[in-house]
Amino acid sequence: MRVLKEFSLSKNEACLVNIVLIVFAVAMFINGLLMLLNEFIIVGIVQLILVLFSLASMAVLRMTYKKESVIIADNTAQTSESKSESVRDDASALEATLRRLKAEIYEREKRETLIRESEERFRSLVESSPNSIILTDSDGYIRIINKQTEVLFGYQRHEIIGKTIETLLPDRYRANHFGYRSDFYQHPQIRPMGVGRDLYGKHKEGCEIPVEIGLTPIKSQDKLMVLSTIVDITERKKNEEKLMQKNEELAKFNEELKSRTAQLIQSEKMSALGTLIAGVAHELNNPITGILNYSQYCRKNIPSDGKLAEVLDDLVVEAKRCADIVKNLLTYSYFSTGKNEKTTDVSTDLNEIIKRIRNLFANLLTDVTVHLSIENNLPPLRIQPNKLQQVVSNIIKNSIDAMENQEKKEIIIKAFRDKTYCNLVIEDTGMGIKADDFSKIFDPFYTTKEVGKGTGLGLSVSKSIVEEYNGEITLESEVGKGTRFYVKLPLNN
Amino acid sequence: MKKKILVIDDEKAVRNSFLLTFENSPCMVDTAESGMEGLEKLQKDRYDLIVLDLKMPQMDGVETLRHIRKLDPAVLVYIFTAFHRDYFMQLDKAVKEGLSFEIVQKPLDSDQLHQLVYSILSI
Repeated sequence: MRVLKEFSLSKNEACLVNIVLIVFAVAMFINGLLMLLNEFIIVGIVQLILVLFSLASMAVLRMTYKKESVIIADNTAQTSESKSESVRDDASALEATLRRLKAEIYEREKRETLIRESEERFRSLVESSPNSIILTDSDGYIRIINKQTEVLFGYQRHEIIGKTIETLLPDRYRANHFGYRSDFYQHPQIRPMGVGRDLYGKHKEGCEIPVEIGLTPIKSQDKLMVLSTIVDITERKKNEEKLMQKNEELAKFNEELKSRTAQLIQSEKMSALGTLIAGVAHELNNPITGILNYSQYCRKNIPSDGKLAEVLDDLVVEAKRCADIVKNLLTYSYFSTGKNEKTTDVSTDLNEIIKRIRNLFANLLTDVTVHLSIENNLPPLRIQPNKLQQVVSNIIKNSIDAMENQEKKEIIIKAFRDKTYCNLVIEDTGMGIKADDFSKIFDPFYTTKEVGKGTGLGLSVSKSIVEEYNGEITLESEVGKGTRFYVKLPLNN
Repeated sequence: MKKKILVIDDEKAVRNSFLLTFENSPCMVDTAESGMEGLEKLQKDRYDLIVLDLKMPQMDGVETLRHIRKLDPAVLVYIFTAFHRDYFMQLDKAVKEGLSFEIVQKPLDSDQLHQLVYSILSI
C-alpha cells in the first residue's frame, strides 16, 4: 500500500494524463485513417493499434485511481463519494485514540502519584527511623543516608554520599571489611552483621561508636544494593559494662561472704577451743608453779653430784616445759577468744626486753653467739612489755630449737626504725623452713618439731600479738642455712 | 637491811615458791592467804614489794589493790596473772581508777622470780 501510495498520481496529474492520452489517440486515429486511405496500410494499422493502446492505458489509469481512493484514507486522494464516510471514520478513530490516550495519561498519572507517595512514604520512613540507615551500591559506595546517620557519624549528607562505606569504619576494621562485603554479595540474605564480634563505627571526629548492624540485600534495576540499619549501642554497652561490673562486685562480695562465713565458723571454733584451753591452763598454772619451784628448791639444796641431782635437773626441765606450754596456751586462748580488750599499753623499751630475754634464755644460749644491732634512740613502743617479750622470745626459742643440730649457732637481732615502723629482724643459722611450711608456720598447733618439743603455739601467739598492735610478721628461710623473721610494729598505734 | 616482799595469793604453791626461792637471800618473804590478811599485814608492817594474785575468793586482787593504795600509795605492786582476758578486764578497771601496778605473767620458775624481784628491787 505504501508503494502504491508513493507512486500514485494527484487528481490534476491524472486529468492531464487522460487529456494527453485522448489527444494522442485522436491524432493517431486520424493519422491512421489517412495512412489507410493513402495505401500505407501497415503504418495505418500500427497507428490504429497505438490508438487502442492509448484507450487501454486510459482505462487502466482510471481503474487504478479509483481503487487507490477507496483503500487509502487520505483526504487528498479521496474521491468525492467516499470523502464524508472517511471523515466520519477518522473522527471516531480520533475519539477512540483520544479516549485511549486519556486513559493512558490517567493511568500514568495514577502510577506516578502512587510512586511519588511510595517514595515519600519511603523517605519519611527512612528519615524518621531512630536508627541510622545507609544504602550502598554493589561497589560499596554510599547512595542514600538518613538524618540519623548524619547525627550518628557527624557527616553532612553531601560529605558522605559517594564515599565508600569503609569511611565509616575504624581503620583497624577496614582491611577485613572488603572481604566481608564480597562474602555478603555472594550470599546476599537478610542477616545481622558480624555475629559474635563487637562492631564499631567511626565518627567524623575519629571517636569510635559501638554499633549493631542489620544487612538487607535489595535488588534495584538488576543491581544488588545493601541496606544497612545501624543501631547505636553506646548506652547499652555502658549499661552492660555497669552490669558486668556489678556482677563482678557481687561475685567478689559473695566470695568475701563465703570466706567471712568460713572465718567466722573457724573463729567460733577457735573461740570455743580457746575458752576450753584457758580453763584447763588456768587450773594447771598454780600447780605447775608449785612443781617448778619445789623441784628447783630441792635441786638447789642437794649436792650436785649423784643420781638425785640428775633426776631433779630433769624434773626442773620438764616442769619448765609445762610452764611454757601453759603460758602459751593461755596467751593463745586470750587471742583466740576474740574479744580481747586492749589493756592500757605502756611505753616499752626494746633494748630492755632483749636484755630480759637474754637473761631468760641464758642457760639455753650458752653455745649460741648472739649479735645485737639495735639502732640508737629507738623510740619506746606502745606495747605491753610482756607481750613484746613474748613475741621476741617465741621467735628466739624457735631459733634455738632450729639450731640444735647445726654446727654454727648464731642469732642476729637487728632493730631499726623507718618512717612508720619499728623493724625487728631476728636471724638464725638453724636448719631453715621449707617454703611449703611458710604459710602454716603461724597456724596454731602447727609444729615441725618432734613430739614433746613444742606445742606449735609459739609463733601463732607472736603473730596474734603483733597483729593486735597492727603490725606484721613475715619470714624468709633457706633450708640448711637459716631463717630470718621480720617483725614490724607501728611507731604510733 | 633485807628487802621485804609480801606475797598475797590463795594458792599455797605460789606462796611456797616465793618462800623457798628467797630462802637465804637478801629478801624476806611474808605471805598472806587472802586480801584481807594481806591488808592486815600491811597495816602492821612496811614492804618494798607486794606480789598480788588477781583471782582470790572473797576479796579479789583489784579490790585488795584499792585498799593497798589507800594504805600506801607508793608501794610497788606486781600483779601475777595468767593473762586471761577476764582478768584483763578487771585490770582495766583498776587502770581506769588510776591504781598503779605492774603485771607479770604466771607461771614463773625460781630463776625468773629471782631475776624479776632483784631487778625490781635493784638488788
